[in-house]
Amino acid sequence: MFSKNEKICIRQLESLLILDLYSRGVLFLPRLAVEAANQDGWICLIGATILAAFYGFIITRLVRRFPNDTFVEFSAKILSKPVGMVLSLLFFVKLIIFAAFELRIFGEVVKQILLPQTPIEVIIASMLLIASYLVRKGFEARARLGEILFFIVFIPLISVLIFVLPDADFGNLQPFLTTSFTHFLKSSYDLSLTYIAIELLLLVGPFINDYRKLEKASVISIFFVGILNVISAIIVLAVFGVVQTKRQLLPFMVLMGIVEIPGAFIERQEILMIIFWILSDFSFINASLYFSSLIIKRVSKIEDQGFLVLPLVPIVYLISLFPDNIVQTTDWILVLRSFRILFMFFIPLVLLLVARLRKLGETVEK
Amino acid sequence: MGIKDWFKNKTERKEQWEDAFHDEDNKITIPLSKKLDENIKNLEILFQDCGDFVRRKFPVGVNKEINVFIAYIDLMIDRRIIEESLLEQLIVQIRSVPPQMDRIKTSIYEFIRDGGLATADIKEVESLDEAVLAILSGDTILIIDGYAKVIVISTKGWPNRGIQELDSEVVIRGSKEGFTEALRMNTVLIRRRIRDTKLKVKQLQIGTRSRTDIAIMYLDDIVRKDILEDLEKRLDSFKIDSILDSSYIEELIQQDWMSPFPQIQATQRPDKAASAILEGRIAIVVDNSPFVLLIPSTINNFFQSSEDYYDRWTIMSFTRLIRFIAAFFSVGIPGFYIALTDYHPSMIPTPLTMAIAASREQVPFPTVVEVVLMELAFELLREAGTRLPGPIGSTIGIVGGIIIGQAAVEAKIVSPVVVIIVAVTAISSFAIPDNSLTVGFRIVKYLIIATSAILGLYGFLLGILIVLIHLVSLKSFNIPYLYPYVSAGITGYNDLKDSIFRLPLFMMYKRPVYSRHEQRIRFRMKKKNE
Repeated sequence: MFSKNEKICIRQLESLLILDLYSRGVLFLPRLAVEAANQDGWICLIGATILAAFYGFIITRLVRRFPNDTFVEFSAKILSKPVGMVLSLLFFVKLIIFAAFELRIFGEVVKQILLPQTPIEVIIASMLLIASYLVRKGFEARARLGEILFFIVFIPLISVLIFVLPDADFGNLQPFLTTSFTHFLKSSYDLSLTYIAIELLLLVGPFINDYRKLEKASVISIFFVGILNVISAIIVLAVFGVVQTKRQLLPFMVLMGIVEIPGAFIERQEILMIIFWILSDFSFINASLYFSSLIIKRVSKIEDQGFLVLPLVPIVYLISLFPDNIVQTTDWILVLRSFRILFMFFIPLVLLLVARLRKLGETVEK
Repeated sequence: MGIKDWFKNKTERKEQWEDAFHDEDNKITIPLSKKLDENIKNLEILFQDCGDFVRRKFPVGVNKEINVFIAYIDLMIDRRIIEESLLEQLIVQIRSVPPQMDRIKTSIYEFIRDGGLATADIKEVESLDEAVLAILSGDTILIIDGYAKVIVISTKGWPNRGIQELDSEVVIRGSKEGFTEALRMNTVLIRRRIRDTKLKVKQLQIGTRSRTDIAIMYLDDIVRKDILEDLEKRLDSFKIDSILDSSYIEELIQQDWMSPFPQIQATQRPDKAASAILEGRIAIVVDNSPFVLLIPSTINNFFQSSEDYYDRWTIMSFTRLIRFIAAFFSVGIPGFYIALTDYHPSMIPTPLTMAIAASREQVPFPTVVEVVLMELAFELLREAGTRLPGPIGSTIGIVGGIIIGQAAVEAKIVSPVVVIIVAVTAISSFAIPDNSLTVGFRIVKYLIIATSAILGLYGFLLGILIVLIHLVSLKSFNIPYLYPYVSAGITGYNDLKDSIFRLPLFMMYKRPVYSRHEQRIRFRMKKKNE
């Protein structure tokens, strides 16, 4: 029943994962997709989702071999201690940097849409503090909050997508399939990098009460988010057309702005809509903070994780203020893009192969 | 836990109760003596200057050769029992028995115990501490010369106000009985509803000076053993001089002492307590308190009223929904209003913006000050109204409503919209069935007002997030506080049937998560041949 060992069930993991996966892409993804392959962008998104599911498959296969270990322990077991240590620290640095840039984008968007006169430092710091407050409450609390946020985020969002339909002109999607196959593959690969949160699965092993269902959870989460992304890309495309979509920095927000919900009396509902995105992004920032402090905890073997998150707060804060503006931040993210695939795909793949060769961990029973 | 540990270290020193008669826990240490006079002397010393202490030493038997001693506290006893079943027997009836002194002499104690007392409820104790406790609880003691044993005759009969109609948790349809101050009466009220030998009433005493009786009631085969053990461990973890109300127990055994939210439900309704016990929860009845504690409690319990199950499920489901919306309003409306008017006026439809702006034109304060001012005025009214006797209390309502509301608007101190906002908040907070939860929401409301005033809608959201994070981390006896809205998967989403909606009884055929896993089914249709 309810134990004190911080285990969560698969359903909770799914809602956490969906929130984390979703927050990354939603605002930019339609533009990125259209930039990559014009009106065929949404097809590339389907490809990206399938690729991400493949990454997820590799990662879950690896994690299933070591159900009681996180990345820190099993990388050390597979590739010797020093290499494992280096990889873990690299992972830590990566998580921190991406959390910081995500936070920066978050701050910029909130400032632009909600609080034009508030200094961005205040927005970033307050979000960071609240995210670390949740880290201190532990994994179980995160999972439960994820369950609640799931409904707060997705029910309004999906209903809004339905209300946009009258404005959509699906003629904008034509002509179909004009991109070449190699281009399609390349774009799919590029877009699949937005599913970066899938790498967090490398660290959840010990918290899952039924690790055999891990693969199912990752597939369900990725496809849930993937379908949502494809639908929003289609609708954005249908409403704005290729040229308009490329011109908007945050096409999805603009889309939210033009929705006319029948009977609604609130104006500028994109402000309300951004709330759902804030909640989902909060979940991602919190996840990054949680797992980076978890890596430190596991590496240093200190018991109290709530205490470990405090030194991370100023570090993330300073890194997030490093770029000058939102354009520079997105440039930075582009520069670091190739870094992402490392933990999403290559390192898990290498670890899995070596583990198979060395016959480490539990073998997957059929 | 930091402060609690620090506090624990501070109070680790023994309290200065020790004297010649008592140990550190205020227990009487001197033993019973075989000599009656010595026992009497000890009792006299213990009860020195206690004007309500009544005692009598008298000889029994035809030859008046054996002395006995009885003692009790005046008016805590039922005088009729003492006179009819005890004194008359001992003083009058025994004399008419032909004396066979040589036979009786060696077994005078058994003779009196078995043949001299015309009442069923007696017991023997062998320490002075228990004897004194019996006297102080309204029983009568009987000491016989030559024996280091005391017979305790149950004669409890103190004045109480009897079972009365409830003043809170009122229902239109359903029982009107309320718990009262006497422990035994309260356990009877529950027992009357559950005629099952598996309903256990475990009694213990807490409070080194008050020695308050506490009864833990549960259904032996339904209650979860881990929760019961946890409760017993927690009740055993502290020493306190007195328990004056069940809220003392609540405060001392709850998990998070810093939270504004109640983690243990208190009820005055016997039917609510009985239904909780039937769901596998544990009721703690505390003597001298009309409030019975129910553990474990989740936030869902505080939104349930007994009437939900007595009236039609459709209408009650709707009412439940209203309650949840009311709860959200009572927390969020003022903060939301501040965020919208101060930071995002463009979100409000233009005519309404104009109306709000026009009404605020001559108001000198910023919106936050206005709202907080009115909220505090309302808190003031509520506090003044609660403590005053009934007739004056309603005057306060009129004075508050008309003078403060109407006049403040006319004097341009607050805008009428803020009055509406505060009124809606107040009414919403009254729609929550449980008062202790309302209090929690009242505090949280100010947090959200503060964050919204600083960061607008973003701050409003952060405020809600802080509250949510706090709520998801709360646990009541290891059950998540937000259950079944979180982790409901553990019972296959069964408990959601009795959450925002109340489904018909036959659909809620399983007990909730508080009960033992193998004892979940509580309802089934009879088979045809049954």
